[in-house]
Amino acid sequence: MEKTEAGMQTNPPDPKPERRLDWPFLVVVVVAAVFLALAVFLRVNELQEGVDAGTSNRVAWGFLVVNYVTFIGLSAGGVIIASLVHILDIRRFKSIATFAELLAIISIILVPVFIFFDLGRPERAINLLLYGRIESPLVWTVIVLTTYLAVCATYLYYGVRRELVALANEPGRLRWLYRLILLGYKDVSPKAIARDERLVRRMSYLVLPLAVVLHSVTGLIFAVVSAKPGYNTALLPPLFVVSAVVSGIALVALVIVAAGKRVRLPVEKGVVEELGRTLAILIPVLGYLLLMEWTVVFYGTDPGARNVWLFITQGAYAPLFWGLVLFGLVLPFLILAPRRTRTRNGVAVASAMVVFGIFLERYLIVEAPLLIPNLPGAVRAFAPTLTEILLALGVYALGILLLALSTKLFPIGEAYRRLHRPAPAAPQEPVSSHASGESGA
Amino acid sequence: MVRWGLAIDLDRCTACQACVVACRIENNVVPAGSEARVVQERAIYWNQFFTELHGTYPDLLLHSFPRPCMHCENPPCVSVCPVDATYKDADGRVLVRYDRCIGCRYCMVACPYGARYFNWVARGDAFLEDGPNPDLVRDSEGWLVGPSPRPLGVVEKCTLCIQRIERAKEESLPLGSDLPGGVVTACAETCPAFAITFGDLDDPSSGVSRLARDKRSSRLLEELGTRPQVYYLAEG
Repeated sequence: MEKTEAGMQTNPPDPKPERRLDWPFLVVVVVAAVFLALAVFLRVNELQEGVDAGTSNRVAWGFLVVNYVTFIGLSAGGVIIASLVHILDIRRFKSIATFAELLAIISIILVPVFIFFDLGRPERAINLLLYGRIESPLVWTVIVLTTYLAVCATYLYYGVRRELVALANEPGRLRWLYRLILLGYKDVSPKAIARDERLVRRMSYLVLPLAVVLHSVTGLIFAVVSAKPGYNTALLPPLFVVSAVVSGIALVALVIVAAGKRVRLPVEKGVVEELGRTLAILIPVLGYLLLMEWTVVFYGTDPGARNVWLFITQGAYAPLFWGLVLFGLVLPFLILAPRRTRTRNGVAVASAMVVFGIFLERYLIVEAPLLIPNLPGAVRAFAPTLTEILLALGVYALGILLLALSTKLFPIGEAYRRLHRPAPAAPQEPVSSHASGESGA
Repeated sequence: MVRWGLAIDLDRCTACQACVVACRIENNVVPAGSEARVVQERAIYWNQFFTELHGTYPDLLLHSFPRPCMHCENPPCVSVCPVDATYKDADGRVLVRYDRCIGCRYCMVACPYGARYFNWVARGDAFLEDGPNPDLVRDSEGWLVGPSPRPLGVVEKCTLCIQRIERAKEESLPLGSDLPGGVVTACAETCPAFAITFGDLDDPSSGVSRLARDKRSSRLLEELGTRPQVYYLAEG
């Protein structure tokens, strides 16, 4: 019942041929490019003059590391959604699976950029491959992240190959690009499609555990540091997995509502609300893990982790902590749990809160344990500098740029909609495909 | 095997901090620099002086101690280094290969003693012209581990004056605080109260290993299991 309705609802009223300049697109691209250029300029300057950040010898990791952790987490959404489609056979999410996967890949691409913006000697990053020491969790991250990116890219490619072939068969200025990417592949027989689908489904069984490994390893970067109470807890890897899934799904829901129309995403009716419901189930899991951590920390007499969490809850970081509780847990749950408020806009607002709340969580987890010294000394607060924030904004801008360009160059949503159009609309197909073939150019 | 270590007798220490200054001069450690850098805790001290006030007025006790790198037997900084830039050498020293370090600062996060420092800002040319110690020490693979001016964006730390020790070995000079004229680290040589003893912990007859076995002897944050090679002899 919903399915037929969905097909109708998401079809744009008139796929008009766009020959004029796409102003909103242009503005987004230019603004993003300016921010990116500014960040690159600041970074090059830093490499000569020194690091302009709130970091110090004790608080050695700053705002960029917080972002690094956050973006690894944000990549989880796409993978979880795509896996739900194929492993649990939730057909409804199929329409957004490839887009979610694209968001995941963009998030992953941004991760090494944050690293390059943070390393003291980025030009020596090749040493990670030349001299990598396998005991280091950072090397685990390099290995897992690279594998993950390669697998996700393959996964996405096979997921959209049918649409790419459709695009390559249409007239348009970018046909060469689609053909180049397809490497001459043309087969769209039912047998070939079934084979691709089978491959994607099988890869899901690989991608899902790989995602769990990636987020666990990110948690382990901190958890293995036995000298830092607050880091040194076995709860951190599972907490990172759950935080990643929650923030990742929220990001997908947020971007779909914010830009779904813009990129002509064929979102089936009820999908955004369904994502909201998934979040409403997962947010309490996150709250539960944090509650267990706090109970153990505050019940005991060990001053280590206790001092860290006392500083977080009552010290200079208290606003961030209550921000996390409010925006990361309580408010989104209150919005998403009742069916009445779980509307498209409600989910978007709650998702924005969740992404922000989880960012605060990352900030607290990465920074607070560093502030409290092991040897005699005062607690030192950390605050990012303007340069640090501009560097992070530059990387966000790169993400927006990648999203804008990839959806513009590859109107996959458009092609998907035409391929999955319900039978009654079939006669119109040649007309609309011609039109959008040009819009893609 | 040799395992270099220090024993610091806090009963003898007068808290004059000459060891901190001697270390700076010997190892080309940049002058602390602007006040901003000190306030921000970006100043570099291979050997840093810590003070801690116990009790309330008038029953006060000021506890102070110098903190070089502990050269742990089980160094947490080494296992986290993603590029094998920091390592435990054959003589029991924890060293940094300055020309391999990528500046990820994971070791600084992992070190419980805060003994590792990052070159956050470019040092002025003026410092280089002022005639720093020109010594360079390379390890067996040719990587730079000795003092020399460190490049911007890498982590640095105490080497137990590797340039002195290696030269003494080449020139067959006596090594350690026990022998007359023995070559020792700059901090040990400078200490006017003879509070710092340098020597081989693997040699049971050396002064340092005798002090390490003293009943006043303890190590910093021993509960973490890092097993430092720097021993402190308690006051009183």
